[in-house]
Amino acid sequence: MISRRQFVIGLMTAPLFWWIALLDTAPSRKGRTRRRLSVMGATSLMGYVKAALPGWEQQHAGVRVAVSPGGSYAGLKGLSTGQVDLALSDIDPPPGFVVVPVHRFPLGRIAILIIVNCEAGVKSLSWHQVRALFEGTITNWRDVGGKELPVVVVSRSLSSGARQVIQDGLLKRAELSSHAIIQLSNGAVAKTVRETPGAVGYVEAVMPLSGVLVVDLGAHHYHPANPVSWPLYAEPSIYVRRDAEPLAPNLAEYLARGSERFRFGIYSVAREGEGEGGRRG
Amino acid sequence: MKIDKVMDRVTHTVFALFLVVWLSVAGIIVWGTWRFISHYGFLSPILSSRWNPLAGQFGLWPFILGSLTVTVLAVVIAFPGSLALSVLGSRILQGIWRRYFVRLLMVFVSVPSVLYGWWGLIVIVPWVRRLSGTSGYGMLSASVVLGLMILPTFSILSLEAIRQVPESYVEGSVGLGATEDQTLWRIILPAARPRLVQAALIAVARGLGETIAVQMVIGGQIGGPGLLHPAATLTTQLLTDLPFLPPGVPGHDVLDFMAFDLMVLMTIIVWLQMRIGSWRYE
Repeated sequence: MISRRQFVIGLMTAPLFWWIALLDTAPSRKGRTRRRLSVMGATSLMGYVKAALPGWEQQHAGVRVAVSPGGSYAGLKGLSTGQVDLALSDIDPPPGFVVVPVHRFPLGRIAILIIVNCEAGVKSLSWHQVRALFEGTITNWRDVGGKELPVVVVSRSLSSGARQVIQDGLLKRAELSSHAIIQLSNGAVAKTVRETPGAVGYVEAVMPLSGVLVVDLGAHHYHPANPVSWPLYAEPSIYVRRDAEPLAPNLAEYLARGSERFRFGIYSVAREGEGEGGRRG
Repeated sequence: MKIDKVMDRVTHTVFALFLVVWLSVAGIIVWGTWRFISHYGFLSPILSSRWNPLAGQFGLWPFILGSLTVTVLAVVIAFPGSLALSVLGSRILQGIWRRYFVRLLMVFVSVPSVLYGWWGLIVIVPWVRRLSGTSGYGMLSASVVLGLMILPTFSILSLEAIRQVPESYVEGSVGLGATEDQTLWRIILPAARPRLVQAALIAVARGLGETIAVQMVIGGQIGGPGLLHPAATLTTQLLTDLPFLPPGVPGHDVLDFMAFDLMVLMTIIVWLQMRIGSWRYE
């Protein structure tokens, strides 16, 4: 039988346990030098961030950066609540989602490609056809000039920035096919499309694609060396709290200017009145 | 004596700590559930089939149905194989063979679920695709993967259940002229039935809680009719929507409610297990 005293000791130990567990994620205090930063957000940017970080860490000896995926929404919410220092997002934060003032550091653009299984027998699709395929109103490839093969739609989950671009830029208000296979990452979508006869999906062009066909969209042809004219893209950014200590915006700026971005499918588009560095959010 | 007292206090303290941590986890889920049901009600989300968190529609019926279907089908798939393996391990194999057989089962129990999912992705999904002409992702693939995943656990528990049957029952049956098969079907298995049902319930609990292996092959969609179309379960949908509905976001409470539903289902299974554990073979 547990005694009252032992129960009290347990109760007293519990907060200590939680304090130790949460120590790593506690927000920084102003004026105190911080040697640890945390980055969270869009999985599509993880490859680039992990590749670029060692260079920054070399310049800032003793500073450790923890990187965790979790999606754009989780990253932005973590930034709001002070659990992370930098949020990576390939979506625009919905109104009221981020309740603290933040700086935004645009990274550029990531092309979102329509990919089909090689057996589908099509190389080019119109916007209208792609929309009908994803909506599920076209159910056989022969209807768009392909083989006699049922269409299998593969999509990302609601938390994906690519899904949001497809939803807003392609489907408008229409709903995705109720028979679509939902996958949690670009890699899983590409693998499913590669291995499923008749599959069609979309991926962010952050990795080499093999065994699938990137279809032309209307008059647009995607070329990795010149992705600027491709019409479907996400615009990822890094967000940092305005009250963050200097290390966080320093890292964000480093990542936003990184020369390795292009290797991970992120390309810059010069805009009027907007430089490459951080745009104030 | 002094060490005994210290150990006694340490173990009790750890228990109290465990209780506090468990209660705080349960408390978070119950608090989120309370916020959810005070806004959307209790039964209507469970019975509704409309899931669109962007539009504030939180129908959970497809996920509950998905969880129950996949789990029950997995147990149905695993049951004959488990029974055969348990009879093999408890009544047929002897000595070193039996020992290695049990060790082999233990190895299969300890294989991480993501490997079962991976195996499902490269073997089961294409197999179902070839057989059915569909994409291959769906409840059938998930059930087969889950069935094979729970098979070793189910087998070990069933093996123990059969070994618990007193040898005097078997000797009595054989002494009266029954064959080995008759003894197995008429004496051993009926005598082991309560523990076999308990083993099945533990397998059901494992199946209900499994996430990643199922997520990899089920397709993650909500409206698919039938076993051959993409579907989702409570756990896979929790995994899918957690990045979209992190804590602090309106709509996150539905994830607490889904976790609460899982807790209720698990509690029912544990209760059934305890009830069945008190059965006696007459």
